[in-house]
Amino acid sequence: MSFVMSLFWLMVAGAFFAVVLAGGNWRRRVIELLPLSFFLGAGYVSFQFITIYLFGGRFDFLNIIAIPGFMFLLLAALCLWGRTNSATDASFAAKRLDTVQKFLLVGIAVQFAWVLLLTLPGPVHSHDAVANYALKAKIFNMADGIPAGFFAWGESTVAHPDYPPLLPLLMTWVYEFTGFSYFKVNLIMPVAYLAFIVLFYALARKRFGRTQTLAMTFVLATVPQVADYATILYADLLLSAFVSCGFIYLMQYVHGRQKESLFLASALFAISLWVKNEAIVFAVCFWAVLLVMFARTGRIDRKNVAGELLGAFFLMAVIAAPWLVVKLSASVNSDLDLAGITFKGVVQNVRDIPVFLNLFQQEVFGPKKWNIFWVMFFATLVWKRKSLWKGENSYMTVFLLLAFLGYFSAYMLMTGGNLYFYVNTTISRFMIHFCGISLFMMGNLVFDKEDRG
Amino acid sequence: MLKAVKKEHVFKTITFVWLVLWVFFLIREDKDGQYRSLMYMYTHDQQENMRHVYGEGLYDLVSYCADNMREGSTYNMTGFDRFSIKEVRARYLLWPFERVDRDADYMVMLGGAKYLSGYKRVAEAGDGTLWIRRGVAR
Repeated sequence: MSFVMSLFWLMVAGAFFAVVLAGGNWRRRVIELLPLSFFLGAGYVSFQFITIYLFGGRFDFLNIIAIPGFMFLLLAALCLWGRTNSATDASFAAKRLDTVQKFLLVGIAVQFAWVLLLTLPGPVHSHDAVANYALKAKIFNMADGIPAGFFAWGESTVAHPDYPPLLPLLMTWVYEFTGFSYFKVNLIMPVAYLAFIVLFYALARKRFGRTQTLAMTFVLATVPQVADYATILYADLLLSAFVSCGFIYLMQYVHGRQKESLFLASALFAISLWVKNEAIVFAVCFWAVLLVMFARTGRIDRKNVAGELLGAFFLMAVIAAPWLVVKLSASVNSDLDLAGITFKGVVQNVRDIPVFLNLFQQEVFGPKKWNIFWVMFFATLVWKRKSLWKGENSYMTVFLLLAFLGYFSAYMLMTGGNLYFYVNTTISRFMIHFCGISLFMMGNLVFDKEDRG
Repeated sequence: MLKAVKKEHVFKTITFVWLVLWVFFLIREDKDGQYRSLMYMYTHDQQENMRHVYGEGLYDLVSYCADNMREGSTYNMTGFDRFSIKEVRARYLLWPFERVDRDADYMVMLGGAKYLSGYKRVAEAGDGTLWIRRGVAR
């Protein structure tokens, strides 16, 4: 029950921001609002904790619940005044599910139940979950805050203290309600997994027919690697959720120029900077796509679009600022070691590109982790190669290509001539980050307009 | 028309392959003994599950250390591979005791030894030994 309460208050904060970003009037479906509230709420609690730290405060219960409590009152007032009315989108019109749709829904439910079955009885146990996230959450919980100087602590005490803190702070939030536990906190990931697939469904449904969307959601939910990472406390699935859903909001903006879609995308990409360092690559891609779109905008619209982009930039800067202040001011034990880049190391890595390609093809063709997900994706790129640079597809292609180049460059520059070790230990996790985006693009390429329902 | 039929065949084949692989990898054991381990955890309490998952020897060692080290003291570790899963788990379980590189009050050793320079043995527990720095009161 206390775990549910922690989620409730987190989602209250998230729902409040969703409504604010939608201009104070939420007209979309509840099925979109609920999972989105989880992700925005996760961003909010991290923001709140770091801000408390920056002002020298403590994480006592009243301290952290006061603002969400106020948000709850405001949300209730908005509901009473009828300013948040959930949409009656024609695409969501309630029709009975056909047999295929029921089968897909049951498949998703079975996969989720399986994730829960594996997660429920065990404590936090896997390597990075313990070293990088759970230990930090335990430290914050026992100290009733982030200890002074924490972000400059040595590696012997805690791994990469300057690593983006969303996951340990989310765990700390749960501890504020449940008390410290090696077990309960494990449930965050199944919840995040569920929120991810529901939000993916809600967003993709605006573009595709119900069967197509359910099929895509089923594929996303049952990719073995995605489901596996829902059972352990690693941040990769969270990052995937933030960037995938941010990407779909971005495409909504490109498609329909709805300001709220842009702001929601901007918020999700900004919060992703709190999740993992790799999010920097996706934030750059986000802005690259927006700049391309701006360059293609006719003169009449330019002023409006420029204003919206400025708003999105301001929003991203505000959300990312507290963490960037902490990171830039305190990192001595960093995961991002730019000073470690050497010419010799880069040359060695370039020579080792075949090693990278070998490990990459093992992932693409390995059914144990990916089923035939990447085979389908690359086959689709070949099949629909003539459509890749047409219309909205061109934005998706630019986004994915730049993101891939970003990761590839990071491997070349930052692995210090030890490419095999780093690629071997990270590539299967990193490919999760691309999963939702690739799936959405695949659907866009494969499903003709008449198929979409 | 022909294109639509072909497309439908492709979709059906892909769906079939996906479903077969999904079910296979869903129910197949990811690691040897996964199901046995799950059964164990569903039939035991949390304390036992911690011992089971973290390894009985390591868990007993770390629990002993946590129970017997003086509040507010520091420790260092020996016998652990650097950044190994055992090391990070031990650090996690031992917090709020802080690990330091120099002049630690205690030494948590994986395995045993007859002598450790600057320290005297407190006790053996689980898979290792707890040592206290000479001159530090227990």
